[in-house]
Amino acid sequence: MKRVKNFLHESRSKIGLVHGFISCIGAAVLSYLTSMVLSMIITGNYSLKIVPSMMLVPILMSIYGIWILFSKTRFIALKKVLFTFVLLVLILSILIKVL
Amino acid sequence: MKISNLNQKFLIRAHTILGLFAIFLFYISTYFGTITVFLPYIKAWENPSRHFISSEKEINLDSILPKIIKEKELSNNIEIIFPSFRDKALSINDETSKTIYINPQTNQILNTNFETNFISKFFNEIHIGRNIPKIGVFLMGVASVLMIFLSISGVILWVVNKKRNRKKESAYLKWHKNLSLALLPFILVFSITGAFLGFMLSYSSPIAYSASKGVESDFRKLVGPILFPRDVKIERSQKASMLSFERLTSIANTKYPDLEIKRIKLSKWYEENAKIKFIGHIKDNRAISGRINRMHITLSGKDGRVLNKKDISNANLTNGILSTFYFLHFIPDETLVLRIVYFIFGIIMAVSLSFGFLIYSEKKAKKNLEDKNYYSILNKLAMATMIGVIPASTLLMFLYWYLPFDLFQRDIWLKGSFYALWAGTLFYSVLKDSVLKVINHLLFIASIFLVLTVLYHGISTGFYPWISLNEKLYDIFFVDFISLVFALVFFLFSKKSKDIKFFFKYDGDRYENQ
Repeated sequence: MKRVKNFLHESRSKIGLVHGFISCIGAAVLSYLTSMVLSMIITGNYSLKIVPSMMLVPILMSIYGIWILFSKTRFIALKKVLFTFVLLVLILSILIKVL
Repeated sequence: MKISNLNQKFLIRAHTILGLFAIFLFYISTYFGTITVFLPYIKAWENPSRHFISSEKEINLDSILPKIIKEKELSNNIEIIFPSFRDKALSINDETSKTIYINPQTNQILNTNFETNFISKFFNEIHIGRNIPKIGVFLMGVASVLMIFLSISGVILWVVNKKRNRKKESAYLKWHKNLSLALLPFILVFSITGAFLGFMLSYSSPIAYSASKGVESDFRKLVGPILFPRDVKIERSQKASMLSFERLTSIANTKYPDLEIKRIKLSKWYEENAKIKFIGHIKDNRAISGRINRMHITLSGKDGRVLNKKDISNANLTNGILSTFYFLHFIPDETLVLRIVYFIFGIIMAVSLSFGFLIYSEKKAKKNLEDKNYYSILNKLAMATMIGVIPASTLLMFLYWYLPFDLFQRDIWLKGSFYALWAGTLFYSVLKDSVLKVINHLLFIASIFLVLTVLYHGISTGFYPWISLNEKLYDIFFVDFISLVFALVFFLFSKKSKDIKFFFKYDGDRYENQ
C-alpha cells in the first residue's frame, strides 16, 4: 500500500509511461464525454446536435491532454481525470432523466 | 503567460514523443495531399481521352441527349454532368448503365477503355491512408488529432519562451518555429478537417448514442436523411413530349440567376410527371454551396413550372457549416490560383515537419558526440520516408506511361514497383553512410524519372510539351511543365548541394578528406 502511495505521489522531471497513458486515455474519454453532454444540451435536429459536437472532439481531446499533462505527480493527474469523469457522468445521467 | 518549469519540461517531452509518432504519417499525408491539390489537372493528364481543348461555347444538349437516350436505352434518373475544369468531357449516366463520356466539341463518344484515373486515385488513397488495410485511415486520423495537440502545445511553448530565450538557437528550431507559426491557420485547418474526416467519421457512435438517447448508435442513420434528403419517388404516367433543353435551361436561369449549373438530373423523362433538376453552386458564394450543400431548382419537364427550389434561405444550417468546413480541405470549385497557393503552403509545411524531426535527431546526436559508432535507425527511416518517397512516386508516374496499357494486372505492377522502390530507398540509406550523398542520389534518380515521365507521355500519346503548348492544351502542358521544373530543381540540388555551407555537416566525404 505504501509503495503504491509512493508511486502515485512521487514527482519526477520526466513523463513516465503511466503519466503518459493517463493523459492519453483520460483525454480521449473526457473529450468524448464532454461532447456527449454537448450533444444533449444543443436543441435542434439530429444533424445540428451531432455534427458540431463531433467536430469539437479532437480539439477538446488535445486541450484535455495538455491540462492533464500539467500535473506534478501521477496522483494529481489521476485525480483530475477521475473528478472530471464523475462530474461529466453525473451531468449526463441528470440530463437523461430530465430531458 | 507563465507556466512552471516542470510543466514546460513535460510539454516539450510530450511534443517530442507525440511528434515523432505523428510526423511520419503526417508527412506522407502532406506530401501526397500536396500533389493531389492538382487532382483535376492530373486526371486530364493521365487520361489520353481527355487530351482535347476544353470548349468555350455553350453545349447544345438538344442535339446530343435525345439521340443518346434512345441509342443506349437510358432509363430512369439520368444524370448529366457538364464539362468543367474538373473534367473536360460531358458525362451522362443512369442507374444501370456505364457512364458515357462525350467530347463536347465534336459530340463523339470518348473511348475510355483502360482509363481508371490510376495515379490520382492511388495518390489520394495514400493521402488518406487507405493503402494500409483496416487501420490506415484510423492511423491518419490519429495523426491529425496529434497534429492539433502539437500545434497547440507548440504555440504555448512559443509564447512561454518568447522573452526568456535570448541565447542562440539552432537553425532547425528557428525555422521549424517560424514556418509553423506562419502556417498555423493552414496547419490547423488541415489537422481539424483531417481529424474529422479520418477519425470522427468512423468513431462517433457514443455521440450519436447520447444525442438519440440510447436509440441509435450509427450517426449516419440519424444525420443522413437530414443532410441528404432523397428525391421523392415519381409515379409512372403516360408518355408525353418534353420542352427543349434550351428552353428549360433559360427558364432555370431566369428563375434562379445566381445558380451556376454543374449538372442536370432527369427523372421519368418523356412521361407526364417528368422532372428536371438543375444542380450547381451559387456564383459568388462557392464555400457555402460546396459539395455537401449544392443548390438546385426543379422544373417540370412538360411545361417548365418551378416545382422546387433550394437556395441559402431554405438550406439546412448544418449543410452550410459542413460545406464550408469541407471547402477548406477540398477547395472543390476553385481553379488554379488558390490551388497553387495551397501547393506552395503544402511544400513549406512538409519542410517544417521535416525540420521538426531534425531538431530531435540533432539533439540526440549531440548527446552521443563521444560515441564514434553512433548510429540511429530512426534517422535512416526518416530519410527513407521523407526523401525516398520522391523517387518512388516519380517512378510510378514514369511506369504509368512506360508500361503498355493492356498489360495484365497493370495496377499491381505499378503499385508493386512503387512500394519496392520505396523500400529500396530504406535499404540504400542504411547501406550508405554519407547522408548528403544518399539525398543527392535519390533526388537525381527522381529528376531522371520525371524527365522520362514527360518523354514517355509524349511517346505514348503524341503530346510532347511543345505540341500541347502549341495546340493550347494548357492543362496537359501545365502538368508536364511542373514535372520538368521539379526535375530541374532536383537535378540542380543534387549537383550543387555539396557547395552549400548549410549541408557541410551531412557530407561524409568532407569529413574523411579533412
